[in-house]
Amino acid sequence: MKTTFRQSMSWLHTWGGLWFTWILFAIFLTGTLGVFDDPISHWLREKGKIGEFTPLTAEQRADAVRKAQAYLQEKSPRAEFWTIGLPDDENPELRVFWRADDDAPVHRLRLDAQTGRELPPGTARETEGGHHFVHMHFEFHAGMAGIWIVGAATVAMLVALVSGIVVHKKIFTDFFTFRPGKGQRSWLDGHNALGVLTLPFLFMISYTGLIIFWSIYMPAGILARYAGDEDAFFAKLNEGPPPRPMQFADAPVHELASLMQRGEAAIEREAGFVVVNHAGDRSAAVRIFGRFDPEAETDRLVGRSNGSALFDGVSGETIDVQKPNTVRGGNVLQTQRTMNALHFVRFGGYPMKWLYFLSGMAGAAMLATGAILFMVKRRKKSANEFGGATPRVYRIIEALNVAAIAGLSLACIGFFWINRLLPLDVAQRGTREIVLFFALWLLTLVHAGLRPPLAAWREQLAAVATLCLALPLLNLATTGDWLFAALARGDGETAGVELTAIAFGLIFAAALRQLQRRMAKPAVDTRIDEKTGAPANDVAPATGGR
Amino acid sequence: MDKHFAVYLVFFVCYAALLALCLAMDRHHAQVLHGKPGRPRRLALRLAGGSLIGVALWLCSLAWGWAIGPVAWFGLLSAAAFALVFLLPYAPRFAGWLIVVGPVLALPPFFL
Repeated sequence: MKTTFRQSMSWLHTWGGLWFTWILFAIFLTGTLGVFDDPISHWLREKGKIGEFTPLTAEQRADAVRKAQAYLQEKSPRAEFWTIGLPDDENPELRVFWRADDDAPVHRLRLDAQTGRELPPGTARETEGGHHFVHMHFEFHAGMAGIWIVGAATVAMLVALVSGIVVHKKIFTDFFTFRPGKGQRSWLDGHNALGVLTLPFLFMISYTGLIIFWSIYMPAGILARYAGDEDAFFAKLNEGPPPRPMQFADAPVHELASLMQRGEAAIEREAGFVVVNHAGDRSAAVRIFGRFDPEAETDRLVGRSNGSALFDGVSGETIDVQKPNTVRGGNVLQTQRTMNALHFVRFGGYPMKWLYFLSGMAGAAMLATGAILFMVKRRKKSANEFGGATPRVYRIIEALNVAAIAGLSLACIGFFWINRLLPLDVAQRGTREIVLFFALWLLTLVHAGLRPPLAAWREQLAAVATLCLALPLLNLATTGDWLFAALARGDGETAGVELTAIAFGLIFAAALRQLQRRMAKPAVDTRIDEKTGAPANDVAPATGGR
Repeated sequence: MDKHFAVYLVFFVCYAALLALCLAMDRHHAQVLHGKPGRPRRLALRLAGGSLIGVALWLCSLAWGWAIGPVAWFGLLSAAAFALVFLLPYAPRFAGWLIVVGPVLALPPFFL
């Protein structure tokens, strides 16, 4: 039998879409939450209650760097890198990170800036903060493997977008069409409207998402021309000094406090980070990074440099200085940076972030409606794609739908609850929160596997709605701070997080009510469509697999 | 142009543009205003819709410049389209009235 182009695209859209929709929904939901990673961190770290951070003086900064260097020298005199994060508004403690070599894990610790000692667990609400959602978004906390999975899913997304346009026959006639309360027809309308109305955004965000990791996804050029030496390649691309390979000869690290002061003078900006590469080796280099200035980004699409100064890590000689607000690299690099900027929405402040948030959530909803539509269509009449195994495969798809959509939503709002309920003095608290997040997500999958599909939907939607709506109360009960206190002191970040949670709670409650209405009705809608004489729910059988 | 003001202004310009394009279609004209639009009215609505979309882009360029402006334009077009598409089935008359009520409520506070 000959199939038309549209039929084969329909097959591709249905199955290509289905197998990737669960991963893609997770990427979209967590990425969209990640747009507001700073306000979420603000809430998770109780910043509103702690109050304003007093910036450190130059003398205090130098002293903090001295303390951090002494600590790192003792812990890991030879290291692939040391990083010292100076206290700022976002992280009011002194932070140190180091890695002994390529294969060792990255250590991260918080120090008391006055004494240079480790802060014992429990002195602050240690958390990965909003970055948790960002890491979920691009790597599922799975490092390089996660980046590749997300990349493959993104390519599938682009394929699904193009095939979706081909399959959607009446893109212009149905442009403004949404017909609620009509079962399968409504799911298809919703899926189409959400997809079509955000199409430019969906293409942009998927494509730029791939471009961010171009050197990972397309390493052939670097392998062929630079024998795989990425450092050499990027040094040339960024018009920076050549890389400094390991020399395997011991040499003490130069005093960092004075390098920081020289770096600050050279770039005329306060330092934010001090990074030592190859600490303890003759090839050591010290880079002082200027503090991030959000104001400089607001009116520009392409973010500009925060400024940095590079020193020889042993002799202290100046190697390179890049002033803040300057741009390096050729047109290709600028194009790539523009695409990064488009993806990260660092520009334009809150109005632009809200537009991304809205479009991103619409994208997530489009994926969810697509996955649900697949099963809504087959609940009434099995398409028998898998022969005798069809009911079992459908059962698995139903369970994955519930766990991927309602379950992940539950895990995301659950993360906020975990943050408030987990005791403060737990060791490795930040990591523990993320482990519990995954445990909760896994639990929703088990639940979805054990319960009948509609009951699983109902129970998980009810749980999400409850956790969202009760978030301000949880905050009040555990920290004494909440929505109204935040509004009273003009803390828009805390209030914004809780108001958004309430809005989502209402949306999930509405979905729950809709579902309960449907469950109260008989399983099959027997009304007859006035015009065609077909059952009201059974529309457009000609659209093939969709 | 103040950017918060621009958000509201461009949103309603986009909404007006999409409402006009939508009213030029039989199905939606019947939903909001009853009856079918005649040929002259249909053409006028299309023309108004198309030009307002252009005006919205121009306003975005004034507020954000030509680098960020188009991004804001796409975003606000999507936002306005969602408002329209999800209002139409539930409150078709209000979908029409919003273009009168919305700007009257949202824009004047910026001049106080």
